Amino acid sequence: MHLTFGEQIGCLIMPTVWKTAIVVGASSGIGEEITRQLVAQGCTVAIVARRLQELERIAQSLNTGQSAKVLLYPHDVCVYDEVPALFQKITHELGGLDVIIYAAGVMPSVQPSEYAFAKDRQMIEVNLLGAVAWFNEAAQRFERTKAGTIVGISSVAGERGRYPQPVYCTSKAALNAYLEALRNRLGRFGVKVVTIKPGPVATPMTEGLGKLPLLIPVDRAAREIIQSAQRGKANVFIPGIWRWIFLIIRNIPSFVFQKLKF
Amino acid sequence: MAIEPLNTPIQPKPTERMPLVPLPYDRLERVSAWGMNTSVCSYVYRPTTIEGVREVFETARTQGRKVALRGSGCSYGDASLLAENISLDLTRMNRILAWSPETGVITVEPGATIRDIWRYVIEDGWWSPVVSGTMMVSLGGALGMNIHGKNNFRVGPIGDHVVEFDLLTPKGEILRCSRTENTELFYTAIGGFGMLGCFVRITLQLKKIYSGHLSVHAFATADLRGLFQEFEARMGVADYLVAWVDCFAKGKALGRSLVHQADYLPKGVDPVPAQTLRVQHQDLPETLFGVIPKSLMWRFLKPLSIRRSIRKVVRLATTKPIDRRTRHLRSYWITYRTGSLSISREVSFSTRVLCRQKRRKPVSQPN
Repeated sequence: MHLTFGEQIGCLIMPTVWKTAIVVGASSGIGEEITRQLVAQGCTVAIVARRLQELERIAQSLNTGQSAKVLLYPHDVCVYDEVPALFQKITHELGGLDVIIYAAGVMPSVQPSEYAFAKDRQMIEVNLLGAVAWFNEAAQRFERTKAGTIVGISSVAGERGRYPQPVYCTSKAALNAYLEALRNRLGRFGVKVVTIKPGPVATPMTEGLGKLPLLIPVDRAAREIIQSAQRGKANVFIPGIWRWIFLIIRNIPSFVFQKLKF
Repeated sequence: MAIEPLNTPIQPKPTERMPLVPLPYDRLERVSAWGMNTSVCSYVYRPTTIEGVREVFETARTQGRKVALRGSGCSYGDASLLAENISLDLTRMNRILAWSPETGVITVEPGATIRDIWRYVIEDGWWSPVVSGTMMVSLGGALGMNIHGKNNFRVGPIGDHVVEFDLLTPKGEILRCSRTENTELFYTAIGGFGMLGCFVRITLQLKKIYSGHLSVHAFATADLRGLFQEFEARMGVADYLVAWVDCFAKGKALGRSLVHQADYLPKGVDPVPAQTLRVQHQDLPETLFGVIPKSLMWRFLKPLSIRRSIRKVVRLATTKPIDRRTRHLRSYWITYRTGSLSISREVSFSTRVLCRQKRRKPVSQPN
């Protein structure tokens, strides 16, 4: 192969091209939009979510060409026992795996004086344990094959334990810690682990929550997520301004933070 | 995700067609083609016995996976690659099961390489009838691909020298195949890309030799016509023929080449066959000029491996004999006597011959 100088440099700075991807929690919101944009890039995507109807709707709208670009797998992320076999089935049918994106997440509305364990448990299970179950599989695989990208969609909520959503914040903070540890384990094998921390994004999850600060449309969020993940960044705030906002919020002393209802 | 009613207590519900026990991750490896330009991830199994191969077939059946047979992985393309499926690597099944120095018939397991075979038999005066560009190919792979050597015009591909073999079919039964038994399977499995089953035992007829040396004759041809004329004239007499074509040549010079002809020495020509047939005698020294380790040579050659210098080297090699204005093509016969050229080298390291011939004066011409 004979490359010109420009092409050689291009190889170095061009972001990775993904051919095969798994998107967990792809039936709506950020996951769905990421799926659409990955398919538009020519990537074959395995979409995993609980609601089969939604999966079929997405697959129908995207599988328009000759070959299927979207493979669908109905699965409840809380059924952890199913994950190892399902993960292998997916990699088998995809014929490889370049990236896994975990976008499943729930945020039930919680009243300021409500301590409903059932809701809390659901958040921990979907937001955290599901991610651990899936990423553990991906980590084993990527460690052996010495390549791959793990993308966890966390949230800015994980930066501080905040007044309105104690357990949501807990689940995201735990996810952040898990992803960071994973990065420290897998970085030496050439595996990229990306923690995405979006602020409010216009998705079904944030519907009916009133006016949210810096709300961005879902397609922009998905675009920025894919871009930064392909560049292999470690911690990404979506949009980037949240990095500076949360730099301040992280440093508010506790005795002040107690007084806020933010 | 929208908020929906909470889950009922967790119930494991294995889906249909899904393997209950996934394949172990410690089997997962990146398997690459010979040129290292393509690679895939596969679950690699390296059995050492026929029973082990059977088990792999059984695993594949229960898991709903396909099996790709792989020997030394020397195929140029992706013949031994099958992404996300089972790669059955036979390199550890490399035992030599039977050897008869009287008849030259050897029985080996499929993972034995051609190198393993010649090193085992050469001191008895035998040689693999077909040797490919690299001698690292496993015999199972060689048979599956029905490989050829630089003597294909004389002896055909390796399949022509197989006496019989045992084939383990995907069902798990072992079929003995030869030119008289299971003939149809015999002729289809040779060159069958491993699609019909796995060779588990191969019997090969080797070639008798009387020296560890070859006589080598190197000469240049001016163009494509000359190249073909030379080849056609020598096809009946030469044991090995190979041309290095100058791919930079254009127009009238198209096909300008350096041709090497190599012949086995007949009985009695080599005065000390027992010495030249020793394995140690066939091994090349580890250092160049007795000083520079060869493992470092690529560092010196790499800066020269650019288009301009390659063009010059090739041009020099293929035109120099003609430029000397001898009417006939300048050519010479050389019988190396002291470890500068031997059979294995002719086949595996032909480039070196070129360099040595330039330095040495032509010796006598045998009849």
